[in-house]
Amino acid sequence: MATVAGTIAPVRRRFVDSAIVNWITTSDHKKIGILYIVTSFFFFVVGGIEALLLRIQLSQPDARFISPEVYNELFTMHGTTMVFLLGMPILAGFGNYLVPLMIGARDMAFPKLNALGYWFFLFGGIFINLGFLIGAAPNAGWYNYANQTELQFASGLNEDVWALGINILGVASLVSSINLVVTIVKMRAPGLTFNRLPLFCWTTLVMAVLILGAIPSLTTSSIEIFFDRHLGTSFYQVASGGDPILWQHQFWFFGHPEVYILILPAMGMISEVIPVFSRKPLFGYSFVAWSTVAIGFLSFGVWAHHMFTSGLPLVAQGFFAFTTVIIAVPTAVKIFNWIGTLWGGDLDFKTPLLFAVAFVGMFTIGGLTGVMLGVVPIDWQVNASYFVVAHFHYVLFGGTVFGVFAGTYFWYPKIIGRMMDDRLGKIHFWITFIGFNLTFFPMHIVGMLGMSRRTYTYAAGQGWTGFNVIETVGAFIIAIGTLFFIWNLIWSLRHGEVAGDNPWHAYTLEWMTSSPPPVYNFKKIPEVRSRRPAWDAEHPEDPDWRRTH
Amino acid sequence: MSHEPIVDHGNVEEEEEHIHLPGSSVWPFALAVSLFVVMVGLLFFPHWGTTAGVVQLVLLLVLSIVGVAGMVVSIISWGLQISEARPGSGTH
Repeated sequence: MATVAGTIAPVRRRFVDSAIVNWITTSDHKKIGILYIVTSFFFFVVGGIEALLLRIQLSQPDARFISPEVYNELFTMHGTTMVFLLGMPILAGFGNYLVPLMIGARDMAFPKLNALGYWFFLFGGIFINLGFLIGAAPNAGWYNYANQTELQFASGLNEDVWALGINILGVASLVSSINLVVTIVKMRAPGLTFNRLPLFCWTTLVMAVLILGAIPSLTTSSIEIFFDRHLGTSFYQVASGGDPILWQHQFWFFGHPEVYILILPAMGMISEVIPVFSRKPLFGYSFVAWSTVAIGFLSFGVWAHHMFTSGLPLVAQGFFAFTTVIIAVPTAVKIFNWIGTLWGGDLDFKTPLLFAVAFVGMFTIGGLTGVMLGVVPIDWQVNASYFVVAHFHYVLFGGTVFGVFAGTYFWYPKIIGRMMDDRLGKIHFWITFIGFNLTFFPMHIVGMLGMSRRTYTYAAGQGWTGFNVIETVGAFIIAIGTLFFIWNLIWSLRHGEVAGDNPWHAYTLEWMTSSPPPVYNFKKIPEVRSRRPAWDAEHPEDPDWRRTH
Repeated sequence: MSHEPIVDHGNVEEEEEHIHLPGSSVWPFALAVSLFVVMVGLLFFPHWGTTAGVVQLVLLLVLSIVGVAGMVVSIISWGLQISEARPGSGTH
């Protein structure tokens, strides 16, 4: 017996000490951040493959590459994946990794709750993709409009998978957001006032507050779908006195803040990147910070611009058109400030800056078409067309994804301790930039020519074929660019140049500890005296705090 | 020119050997797995107006009960877990 126990004990100890158990049980914000980022990127590849299959189907008229049923599942899961399994969690991942380092804290406020948020996200992602395995992937579009979700129109498990999966993911987002808010509000280093807070932390804070306000609308309404389907309630069933339009209000009350949930932290990322590669402080820090707050506040007042064609009263249409135009003002303030920072700067066009500048350009195009869509008569013409698809891809790919790429190249040296290869990075950038515009710019035109989003196929002679061929070629070019990115990520793990603590001569606190940082982040909690503490440390003869604060 | 401290290490809260960080825990993972099991169980919940088969009902009940029990155990165990320092974070 003693022999058996003596054999088991070391085996058990080896298991407990193994890397996999270490990662499963970790409460270190840096490891959890890496888990978020890696998992999200995996889902980015999954969502990208779904998009390529959709593009192959649309590359020729009258195509039958995939069945209509599979097509419905693919576009639904592409949208769901990119929003809930890439956009939100990858930003949460960077927030998890960077926020404590940027504010001079040793971890998040609730480290184990932090781990819970990640595991909910992972299992929510697995659950919602489980539909493919059981032949019942969600298929009513990522915004899952009632009454397509009601039992008489969707008798399979597809909508149950979506409703239950979204609830797991919703709880994951709430858990992560509570943690981010408390961490940023309560755990800043001495001297790190809100007026000195890095802009990535500002935007992450507003994002987290938006999640807390918006997600409950989605989770409760998806529970109502489940109740309608299983318990005989009639929230959205017209025949029983329900109202499908209620779903649209509930969904878009979440859905439009969601756009800012997805874009604000990416704006924060490029607000960190642009000053460093311009060798200047950010132009108009206060305006960028407070415009973030303004966007967050206004984002709860624009939801019904998604519903202009649903029969809203004219007064409501006027109100939501007005708020939609107004929210462009703080957004434009940011664009002005980024350009003001670049203007006259000593620009160093490394890969992070290339993606950041591309973000500004592409997001501006997406923002302008957003203002167009806020004008009611235009929206009536192009609602639910490929023009809208082009618009939101310019915002969420040209904006969020380009911002995340900029952030990845920028912070990879801090996370891994080695530089990513800049030559491969530039190849990745140019291929992605060209592929992105080939894919999504023609969608504006084909949308105005009348092609509806979610069209399964189309007849020859409608004038759409050429544009769709270009879009499909562009999508595959993006995929090639992504392969360069993956190769760069892997190659640089072992062969990248050793980064050192602050390879970019950047300004914020995370660059004042080692790369990668130790478990405890900082040996001693720093005291901050300006917005650029790392600059101050590198330039004791000319510190910011002596000049401005 | 006087060189005042930029990042002031003089007002230090803790020395490295006294840094205390929460240790690892399997319970967040276990809680998420348990919720996942509950949700899989709910997929067998009969649709309104339909009659559930025996297998469907058994799967619904077993998965839901196992999942909820797992959630309860995870939450209680998490709450009762003695705080341990994270390896590498100091001597606590």
